This record gives sequence, structure tokens and C-alpha cells, in this order.
Amino acid sequence: MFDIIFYIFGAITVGGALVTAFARNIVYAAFSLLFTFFGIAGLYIMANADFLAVTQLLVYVGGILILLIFGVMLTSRIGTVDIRVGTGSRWVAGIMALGLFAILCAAFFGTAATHTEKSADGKSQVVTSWATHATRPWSGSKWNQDATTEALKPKYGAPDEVKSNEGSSGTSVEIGTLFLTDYLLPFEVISVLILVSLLGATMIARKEPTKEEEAIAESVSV
Amino acid sequence: MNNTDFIAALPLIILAGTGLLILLWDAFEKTPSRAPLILTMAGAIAAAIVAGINMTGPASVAFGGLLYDNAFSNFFTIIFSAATILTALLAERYLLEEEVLVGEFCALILFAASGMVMMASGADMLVIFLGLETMSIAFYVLAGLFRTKTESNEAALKYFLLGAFATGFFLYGIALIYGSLGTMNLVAMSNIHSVTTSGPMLLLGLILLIVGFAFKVAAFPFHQWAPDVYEGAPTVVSGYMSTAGKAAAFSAIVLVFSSMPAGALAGGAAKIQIVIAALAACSMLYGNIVALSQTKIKRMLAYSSTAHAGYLLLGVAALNATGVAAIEIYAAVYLLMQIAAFGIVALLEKETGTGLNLDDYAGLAKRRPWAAFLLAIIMLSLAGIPPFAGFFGKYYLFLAAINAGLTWLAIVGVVSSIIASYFYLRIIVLMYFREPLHADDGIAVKENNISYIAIGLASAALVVLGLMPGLLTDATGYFFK
Repeated sequence: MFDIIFYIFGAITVGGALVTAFARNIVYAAFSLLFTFFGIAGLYIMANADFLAVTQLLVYVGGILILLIFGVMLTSRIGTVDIRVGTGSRWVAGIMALGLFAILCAAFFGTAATHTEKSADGKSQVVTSWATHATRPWSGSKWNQDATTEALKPKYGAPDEVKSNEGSSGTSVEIGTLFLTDYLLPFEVISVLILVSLLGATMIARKEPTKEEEAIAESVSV
Repeated sequence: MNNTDFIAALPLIILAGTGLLILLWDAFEKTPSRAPLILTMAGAIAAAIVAGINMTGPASVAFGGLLYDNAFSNFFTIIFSAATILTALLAERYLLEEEVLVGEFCALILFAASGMVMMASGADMLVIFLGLETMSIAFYVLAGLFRTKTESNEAALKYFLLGAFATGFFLYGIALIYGSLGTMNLVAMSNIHSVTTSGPMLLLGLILLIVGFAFKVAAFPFHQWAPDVYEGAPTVVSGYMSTAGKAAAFSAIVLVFSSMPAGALAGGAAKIQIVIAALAACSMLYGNIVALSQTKIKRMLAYSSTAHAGYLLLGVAALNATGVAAIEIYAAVYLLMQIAAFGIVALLEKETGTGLNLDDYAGLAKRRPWAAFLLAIIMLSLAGIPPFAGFFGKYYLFLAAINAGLTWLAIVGVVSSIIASYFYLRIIVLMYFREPLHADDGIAVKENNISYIAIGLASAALVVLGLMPGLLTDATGYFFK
């Protein structure tokens, strides 16, 4: 059952992406992107990443896609423009994309990575990569089970009561705790990143004052 | 978070905090002034001092394994701060003359510097990635600082699109590495002590990571954006991003590759080394050969910066202790040379965009004896001629390659350096032995003492470090003892 649902979501994602890439009309492309985003959110849920799935829906479907469609709506005559670029390079691009796909497939199926890690008490622990996981990849969330991560972080870490809730309350509680404990630094640093983006956006989008406006502004300030 | 964590992150906090302070200041200050530039320098100097003090302390990993505090990270923090100081000094005349927003400019270079510090001291790929993004976004905006100039807009857009594409490769690489090793933490990675079977997934992840980095350092064949961006961006910004940005990317490459578990790569390590060595050889040869035929100085410096990325990649290909120290040394020396070279270009270029052709430098020695003299020192150092610091930087890189058994790569490096010396020395010939082509003086009229101070400091450092290379080799905290 899980397998079937996984492939359904996968098909929605890939199908949406194909239509987005090959649509002549930008409106169709934007709408089919909705299915891609939706399918990815479904895949996140199947991988036990419920918080990520909700974020995906909120940010991509709720934010970016709406913005995109508003942009299309408010731009005159954009709907009739053929957005595909010249035909000459399409075959080359297609062959290269297929080649890359083949390499990725080879890497995916060729990887049987079972490796051992040193845990805190010096014992070795076998960690299996999910590509060749014996059972379904999504059946066991590896969240907080990483022995090395545990060994590294004796000082911090999610409180025990949060860990004991794992699997029952979803991941958002844990993510929140981790953001304010183990991953405090990246959490704070992201605010700098967002500030830089905001500053950059205002600098690029600001209106260059004309000479007259400058004169007015000066007379007002005096 | 306790005291040691706080102290380890202090340079980062100072740089980003000064940026915030400048933004606040700018909101209340109506008339453009030099205050943001002075604040920038003060912040960068403070960050460098703290990093210098941290350097003498014991090495540690702060924030539960997220941030390194060791000789390597602090060395790079110091050179990023130095680049910020030099850029602020050089920008003084440039900004006030070209009427751009000084406060925003200063805040952006400080945020970019804080991103670089994160890249050089990140012990987790997450931190390195966030640093890379912070730096890159600041650079995209800085490249488009002159909004009324078409070239500047073109530079910003090109850099943004290609940079975002490269980020995609980089992220995919991180995802595959995480998938095959089960961790993004570099300390944890180096602790993985045995891998029974190794698949191509890790190898593919590393290759994608290399592609992302090669874009950022403009190594061949991912260099196509560099000439256009360096030419279109404001000259001081070109100087900043072609030096500090590259040094940051190289520090992150060294961090990631040196923490790869030895067993996990098995036979893959040799393949990765060949890929990097090939990138290095192609970058050196291509950059220098194409730079020969350039007629504009900014494009020439851009292509030669591809070649310098090649020299630095040589240290990555070696990836032994000598190689890491050599990368640190060459990153510092290259930073001084290239920022000073772009500084002189900025000093001589006219507001209308002229004064950027090589012909405009003909007879410069008669018109601007000091500028010509300093540029001569910088060019000799870039060409790698002793006794200037550029020579020792290259020497250690070639030494590292030979130690790692990559003698052929060192030979390619030497050959490409000889090719390069032609176009570096040609500028000296133009300046000293040719008559000016234009009667009306194609270069800017105004002199500026502050720019001269910055360029003079950098050139003096090149001479001093060239005569006493021990100063730098000791500071790297590594070997040669």
C-alpha cells in the first residue's frame, strides 16, 4: 500500500515537472508546478517529515506559486508568449539531461553503503544508507538516532521527554527544540542571510530619485 | 551556548553586528558621510584582533560541533578582515564620487565577510552552506551597485543566475554526501572509521560539490561568468569578490575534503584527485593563455584570476599538510595583490568608464609615477617573480604538488606562470617605456591619498612577506619548521 502511494506521489511530481518544462503557455506551466509542489509535499509526509511537508505547502504553494500566478496575471499579454527558447540546443540539452539521469540512476542503484561508525562507548554500529534499506526507507526515521551525532554533542541535545515522544507527536516539536539547542548557530545565522536578502532586494528595487524630487526632499528637510 | 562558544563565534558576531550597526546609523543619518566606512574598518580590525587572539589559544569545536575555532579558521578570518579593510579604504573615493549608498555598501561587505568567516570555520556543511549563501547574495547585490549602468546590471543578473545554478549543484552534492555518510557534520565524518562497501553515490556527491565550488572560484570550465561580472561590477567590488570570495570558497573546499573519511572513498579518492588536478591544470593554462589576448585590464585580471584559482586548486589536489598551508599562504598573498591591482584600476578609471584599456596605461610612469611604481610591484608579484610574496606563494603550492606525487601538475603550473609573466610584464613595459597614446590623458584626473595608503600598504606587505616569508608560514600554524 505504501509503495503504491509513493509511486502515485512520484508520478504527480514528475508529471507536473514535465508539463512545466514543456508547456508553451506560461499559465499552464505555473499551474502544473502546483502539482509538482503538492507531490513533493506528499513525499515528505511519507518520509515522516510532516513539518517539512507543511512548510512546503505554505511556502511554495501558498507563497511562491501565488506570487508567480499574480505576476502572470498582472503582466499584459504574457499568456500568449511562447516561453520556450530556441530549438537548436534542445537536443543537446535533452541528451545531457538524460546522461545526467543515467549517472544518477547508476549512483543510486550502485550504492550499497553499509558502514560502521564509532559510537560514544567505542562500540561500532552498523548504519545502512536508505538507498538499499531492507525495508521501506520511510519506516524508520533516523532522527536523533545517529550515534555519531550523539557522541559529538554531550552538552546539548533535545531533552529526553522530547525524544521519548518521537514518532507520536511528529517532528515539529523536535525541530523546534533542535533549533534552539544543537542548531542554534545556523538558526541565528539564517536571520543574517534573510537580512542580506531583504537589504539586497530593497537596494535593487528602489526608485532612483529624480533631480526634482531630490530638490523637494532637501527643501522639506531644511 | 557558553563562554567558549561565544568567544569562538566572536569575530563572526563582530562583523555581522557592525553591519547591523551601520544599517541603523544609516537610517538616521541624512547626509552621506565617511562614518560607515570608518565603522566598517573598526569592525574588521576588531574581528581580526579577536581572531588573532583566538589563534594563539587551543583549537576547539564550538556550538556542539558546528564551528571550528582553530589556526586555520582564524587565519582565514584575519585575511577576510584585511580584505574588508582594504576594500573600505579603496571604496572611499570611489563611492563618494559615484554617488552610491555608502551605508548599504558597507553593510553588505561586512555581511559578506561574516558569510566568509562561516565558510572558513564551519564544522557542519549546513553552516558552510549558509555562509556561502550569505556571501553570494551580498555579492550579487554589490555587483549591481551602479543601477544606472547597463554593464553593472548585466553583471548582477549574470552572476545571480549562474550563482543560483551553482548553488543547486552544491546542495545536491551535500544531499548525496549526507545520504551516503549519514551525517553533514565534518567532525562526525572524519570519525567514521571504516566503510565496508563504497558506492558511487559519495563520489557523485563530491563531484557535484566540486562543480559548485568551481563555479564560485571561477575555475575552468566554470569561469564564463567571471570576465563579464568582474568587468561590469564596480571595480572595488570586483577586487573584493575575486579575492576574499575565492579565498572563502577554497577554505571551505579544504575543510570538506580534508574531513572525508579515508575509508569511505577507498579508490574514489584517487579519482577525485585526478578530477581536481585536471581542473587545476586547465584553469592555469586556459586563464593565462586567454589573458594574453585581452585589451581591457579588468578582463585581463578576470582571466588571470581563473589562472590563480588553478594555482590554488593545485594545493587542493595535493591535499597534504603542505598543500593546506600553501593554500592559506597563497590565498593571503593573492588577496593583497589582486585587491591592490583592482584598487589602482579604480583609481585611474574615469567616471565615464574610460581609462580601462591597456593602452591607457601607456606612459603612466611619467604622468603618475607612484601609481606606476606600485602597479609594477603588484604585477611582478602576480607574475611570481622573486623577491615578491607571489613567488613564495607559488613556490609552496608547487612544493605541495611535488610532495603529493603530482610532479606533472607542478610542471604545468611553472609553464603557465611563464606564459603569465608575458602579460604582467607587458603592463610594466607599457607604463615605463611607451609614450601616452592619448594627448588628453585617458585616465582620471583626481588623486586620492586614502586609496594610495591602501595600495601602498598592500604593496609594502608584498615586499615584506616576500623578503620574510617566515612571517606567513608561521602564522599558518602548520609546518615548514
